[in-house]
Amino acid sequence: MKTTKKTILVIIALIVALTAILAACGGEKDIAVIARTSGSGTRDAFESIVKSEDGTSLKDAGLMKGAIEQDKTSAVISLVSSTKTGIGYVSLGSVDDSVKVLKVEGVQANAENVLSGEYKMQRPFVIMTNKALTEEGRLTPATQDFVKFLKSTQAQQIVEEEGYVKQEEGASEYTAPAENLSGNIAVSGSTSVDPLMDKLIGKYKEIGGAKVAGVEISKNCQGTSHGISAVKADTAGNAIGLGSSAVKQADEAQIAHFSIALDAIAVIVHPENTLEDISVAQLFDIYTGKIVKFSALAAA
Amino acid sequence: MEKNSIKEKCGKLLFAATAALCIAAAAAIFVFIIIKSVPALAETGVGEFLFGTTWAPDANDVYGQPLAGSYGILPMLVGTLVATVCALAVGGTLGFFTAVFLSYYCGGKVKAVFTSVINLLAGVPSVIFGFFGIKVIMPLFNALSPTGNSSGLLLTSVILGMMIFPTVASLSKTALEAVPSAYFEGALALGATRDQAVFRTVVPAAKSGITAAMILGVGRALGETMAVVMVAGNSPQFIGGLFTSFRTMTANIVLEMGYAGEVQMGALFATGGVLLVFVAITVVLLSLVTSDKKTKGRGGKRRGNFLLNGRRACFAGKVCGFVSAAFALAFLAALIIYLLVKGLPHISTQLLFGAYEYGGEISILPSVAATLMTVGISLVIALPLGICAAIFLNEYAGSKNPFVRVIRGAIDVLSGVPSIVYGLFGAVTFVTLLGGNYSIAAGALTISVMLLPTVIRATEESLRAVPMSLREGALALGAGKLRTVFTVVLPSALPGIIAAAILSVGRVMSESAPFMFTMGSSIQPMPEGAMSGGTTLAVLLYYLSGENLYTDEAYACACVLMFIVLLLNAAAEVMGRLLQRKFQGEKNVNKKRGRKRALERAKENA
Repeated sequence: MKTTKKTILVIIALIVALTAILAACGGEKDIAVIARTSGSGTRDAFESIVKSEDGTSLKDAGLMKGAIEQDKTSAVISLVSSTKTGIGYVSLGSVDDSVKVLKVEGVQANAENVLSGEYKMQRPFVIMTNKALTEEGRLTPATQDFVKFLKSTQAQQIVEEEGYVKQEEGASEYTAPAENLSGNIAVSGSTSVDPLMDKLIGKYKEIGGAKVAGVEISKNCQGTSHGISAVKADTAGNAIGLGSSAVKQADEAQIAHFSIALDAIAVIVHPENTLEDISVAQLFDIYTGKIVKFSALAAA
Repeated sequence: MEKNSIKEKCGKLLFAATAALCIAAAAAIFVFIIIKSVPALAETGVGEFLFGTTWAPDANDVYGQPLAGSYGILPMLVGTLVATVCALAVGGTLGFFTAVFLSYYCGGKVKAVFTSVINLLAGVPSVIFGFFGIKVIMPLFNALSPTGNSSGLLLTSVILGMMIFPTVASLSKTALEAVPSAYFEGALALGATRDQAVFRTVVPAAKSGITAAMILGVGRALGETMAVVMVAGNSPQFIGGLFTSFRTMTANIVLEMGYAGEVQMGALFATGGVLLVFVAITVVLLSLVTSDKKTKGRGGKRRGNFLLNGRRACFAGKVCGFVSAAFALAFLAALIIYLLVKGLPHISTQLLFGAYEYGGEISILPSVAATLMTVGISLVIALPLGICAAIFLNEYAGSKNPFVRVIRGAIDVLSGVPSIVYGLFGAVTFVTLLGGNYSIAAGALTISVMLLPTVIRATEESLRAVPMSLREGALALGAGKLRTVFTVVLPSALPGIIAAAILSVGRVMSESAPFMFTMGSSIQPMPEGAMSGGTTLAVLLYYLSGENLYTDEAYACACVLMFIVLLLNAAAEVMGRLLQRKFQGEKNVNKKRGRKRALERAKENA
């Protein structure tokens, strides 16, 4: 009997100690800054758009030390949804009910505002091919055909169905090729474009039917930079890269590209957060570590 | 006779050659990682690489030009070490006390239940651990953190601790049970309480075995990748507290490998090289500990262990044992219930058996096919090689032979190499060899190398369990050694070998890091052959949970994966029982115990 009593005492003591620790952790907590890892196109786009008041981009200033970096969109959402003081950014298409999307500069993140350009936090989804090969027409027939499809109105329809903002300009109707095509197309790049690409490949196979049945499309997405390097290194003319941020000036010489859709980057916080609106400059201050509490935003 | 002796010699040579293959494999891993990392080290300077405090790689850096990025891994080096030590503090303590509880404080049924709990925990894929950590444990800790988010050391230690817990618990249990019962009885006879007998006599006697268990736990914690990536926070800075985001070396590799530039890639390989050095150190430590004959049988000597001196302290130890075991059970139960609640409602026929086309509904069928192909290919390669090597080690080689010692060292190294380093190795060898594309074949080859130590150890244990009298009988009847091995020893050890195969299947199922850079990591339609890319179930789970679009499917996939792991565990258990029953006629009690231990050890090796 004595032993059970002691056990109970020990357990009670532990519980008391834990509650004490919990109680000690009251007061307003710092902001938990959640970002993506460095190869991510979402991060690249976010850091290029977010600028301080004097025009320095977050990319040049550098992410604050100690930010949480996650390699997956879902992890960012999951962390924000369980962290009352969390803030993160993800593709608008991935957002669910577990988090709250903030207005940026007073503008709601939706298709309309993205297209009109009012919503600042947007980036294109780009399709990239090797520039030299493309200009010399040395892409394989299958790749050329697939690229043709990606530029088509049918592809744009899928883009819209999937909740992204379509790019109106220059789309034409795609028809299945006259001859049977075959060969391998290697798709790689942005994980954000990956789900959209899934649907696009499905539609391509559907429209192309028997003519493109011999075309094997293999897809492996590990980040925009991965796609960029695959396209640069392409010699067979069958590499297609997916990018989730605008192609950089430095890469223009080697990469032919067009954008297939626009995507909004949603700034997300915990649903219980009372904040509704945030400015780009405030985002800059948060991600560089200058603002560490949400109350500082409300005061400003 | 002449013909026979040639056959015998050839047989022996063949077995020796397969065993030597382990040395080759271990050497190849080191060589390839070093070759790949030397240019980067030359570019950055070894000192700058090891002791530089900033990791800010630039993907555009190429060899021979001034570097734009900086490549210092010290923060991650420290991060890895601190996380490992903390994980050991959690998992080692829990594991040790659970082992004590299992060995001395519980009866047959409870013990059986807990033993299978430990085995199950050992089989849980690390992706699922990470998933569980981020969804369930993290919110629990969030209130404690100054930022409101608990990514960081504490969370990582708990998750890693639970991952190394089964290793430590089952190995410590084996060590405790190996202590002659006379020690325990003697202590009781001298008037010690049960608790004192356990903690002051048996535990000190099993010290070397327990230390070995801890070292193996350290090895596992050092190399863990997929779970750590989810819970550590991943900022490449020094650990500043329990809740600051930090990055481990393994996480660094898996996070940046996918899109690394030239120099960056080299630096990542060098990071793998540093990990290998740590592995080598743990292997050396392990061999020092286990070969230390002096520590054995010194249990009776009075020790100055002030913590466990009095009766009260020993009693507290017992309570810790109960609490640890209960905690492990609760953890596993929470994990399984969580997955079931979240995943079960989303398991549908489309998900399980539907065809997957690009753009269609998600189905795990292509991944199941890819996984089966990987399992098939890797077993065809690893099983024969592993069994032959085990035959050589157990039937032919004397233990004093230096060649054999090197082989054993190589096997230890192979089993200690982190899975992400296997991934790196596979990416530079098999992927390049097979034409530069990710393929199932490349993934299967990579995992085959990884399976070798598992197969060898499990097979060896079951060979050891075959009574000597059987061999002697066969030899006395005039059979040659080869014939004895193939017609008498191997058939008797068959259930154990099958158990080894099942353990290997489990390993292939639960690993993900070695496949990401060899087989591919996005969802793909039905593989058309061994040369097409594919994703195993564990990698698919990682992918599905990625963009927050297929969360339900991810849970369902996790459920299926857990279910398969459960089944495999049960199957391995049944095989183990068969092996035991087979030799039940054998009266020798000592040997019986040996077999039992052998089975347990075979399971731990998984």
